[in-house]
Amino acid sequence: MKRREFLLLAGPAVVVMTLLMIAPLVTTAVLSLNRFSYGSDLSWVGLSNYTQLLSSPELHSSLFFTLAFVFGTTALKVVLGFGLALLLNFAVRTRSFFLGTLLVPLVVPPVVGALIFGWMFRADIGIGLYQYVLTSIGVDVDWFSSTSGAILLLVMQNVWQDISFAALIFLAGLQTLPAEPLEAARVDGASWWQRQRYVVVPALSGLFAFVAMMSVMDSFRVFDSIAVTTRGGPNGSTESLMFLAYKISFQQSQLGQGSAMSMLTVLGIVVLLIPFLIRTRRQFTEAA
Amino acid sequence: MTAMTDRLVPAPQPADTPPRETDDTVRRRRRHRARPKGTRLQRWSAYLMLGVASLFSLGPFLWVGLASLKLPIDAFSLPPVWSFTPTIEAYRILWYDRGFGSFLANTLLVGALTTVISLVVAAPAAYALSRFKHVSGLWILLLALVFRALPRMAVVLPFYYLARITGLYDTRILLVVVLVAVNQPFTIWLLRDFFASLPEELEESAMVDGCTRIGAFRRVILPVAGPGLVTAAVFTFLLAYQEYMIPLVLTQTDAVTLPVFIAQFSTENIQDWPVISAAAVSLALPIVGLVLLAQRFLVAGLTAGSTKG
Repeated sequence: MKRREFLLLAGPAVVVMTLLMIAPLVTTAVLSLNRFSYGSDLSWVGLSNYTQLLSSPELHSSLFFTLAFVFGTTALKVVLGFGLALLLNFAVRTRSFFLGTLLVPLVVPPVVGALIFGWMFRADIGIGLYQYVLTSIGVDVDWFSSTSGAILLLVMQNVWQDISFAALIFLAGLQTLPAEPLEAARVDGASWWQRQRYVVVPALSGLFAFVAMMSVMDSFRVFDSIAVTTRGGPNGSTESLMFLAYKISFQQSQLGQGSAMSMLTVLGIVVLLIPFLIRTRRQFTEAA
Repeated sequence: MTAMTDRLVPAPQPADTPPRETDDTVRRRRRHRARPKGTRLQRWSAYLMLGVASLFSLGPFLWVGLASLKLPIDAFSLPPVWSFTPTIEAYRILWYDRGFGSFLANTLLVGALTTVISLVVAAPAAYALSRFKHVSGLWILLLALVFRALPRMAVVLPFYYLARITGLYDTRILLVVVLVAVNQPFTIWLLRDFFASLPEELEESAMVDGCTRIGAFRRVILPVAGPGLVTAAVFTFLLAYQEYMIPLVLTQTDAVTLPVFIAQFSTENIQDWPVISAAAVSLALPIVGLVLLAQRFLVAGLTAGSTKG
């Protein structure tokens, strides 16, 4: 393809990306060096928004929660998603039925999913069916007023809603897997576990990386589910970086500091994405 | 192709003699063997586990769907009430008193506009990126990946600030513009995969016949990219429909979308519980229908990018 043709076809998208993504990002970076709120004028404060944020315990606890959340949800989605994919791959005839039911939470907006998932664990009212069942069999977890309970609730909600994506990716991979290596392993006397461990998992390593990447991306900016379930509580222990940025910007009306918080979040995700960016680059250069 | 014609015109085979080992019979037997796997016990335990997973997956929706048909007193009481007189009162309140219809219409309109604009901008770019093997193409793709992962706040804040100044705050136009900006990188990624899977010979032969590159894209590539475009459309729409933070920050009353509408209910007001339940059901049902109707496109879209990208 000629350069001129490329510019003609990709030009509009590049313009849109520049105007609507890069320009706002740069603006946020500039705004983060000011102190202002809605309606007030900008006043230049240099890096003080950043130094204030970096030394605040709020940011530290928020970073801790976000990383724990990212790690917990990603590990669970990879492991359980792979398990579900093996089951779906096994159950040939009923596959599309089960897949359909598993996909429902994925397409429902996270806000709505989290709202009703949170209700299931309310102890004070009859709508909390799961909580009622759990207490009646002797499991009594305080989902909303204990830190570990609240984190667990949010992790479960995320896994519940997004797991079918992981399962689907792994299923697609399992279906393209050639039969011969598995047959060979079987003939050589490898057990089911050994076949998964030494044949299937290595063959799907690219997909494991892909699922992990998507999960890291989405979990790192978690906001919706927190906003309608724990609201950052108890005592701010479930405030994600995004939730904190929103709180500072719109509840405390400190748009400058909120911008700084957003920039730190961008920095965080870029750092987390580096291995995946290198991987994409390698694939691109290999294909070229 | 040969397998297909063979199946249409089956070769006559004597019933009691073993069939000849043609390519086709081997293939058919392999396919047959791939069907029911494992022993009966293994199969039933797999079905059992999948059944439990499905129940967990749908459980909250079924329970909340039930709650939406209850009177507030029944939805509220503990232990949970199983037998009750169903009522559609909550739906009446939702649709007549709370104006659910207008929020739904607004959400659908914003979603549709976002989808159309995103596709128009992203499709040519995705095609160009799938064919242009130059380092600048790589940079655009990497940038799109970072943008796909970008925390919303970092882009929404300046839009909020500027919208307040220009008076675009709380308008549909602003919402569509920001949704296009945020979702377009994803649309490009998705479509690039589809275009990359189309053989280059397609447009090359058209260009040998005197078509320009742009003409070949329009007349040859786009017509065969239908399934890919539908998939991308389904996804872009879904992302716009699901978005919470952007409309939360950029709207107040006029352009509010469903996720914001539902989240702003006071969950402390007991009377509202069946109504919020009804709202959740009313919002989920159309997309559940979409899942059932477009499962093929949905699956294609979800798995795109994993095999190559």
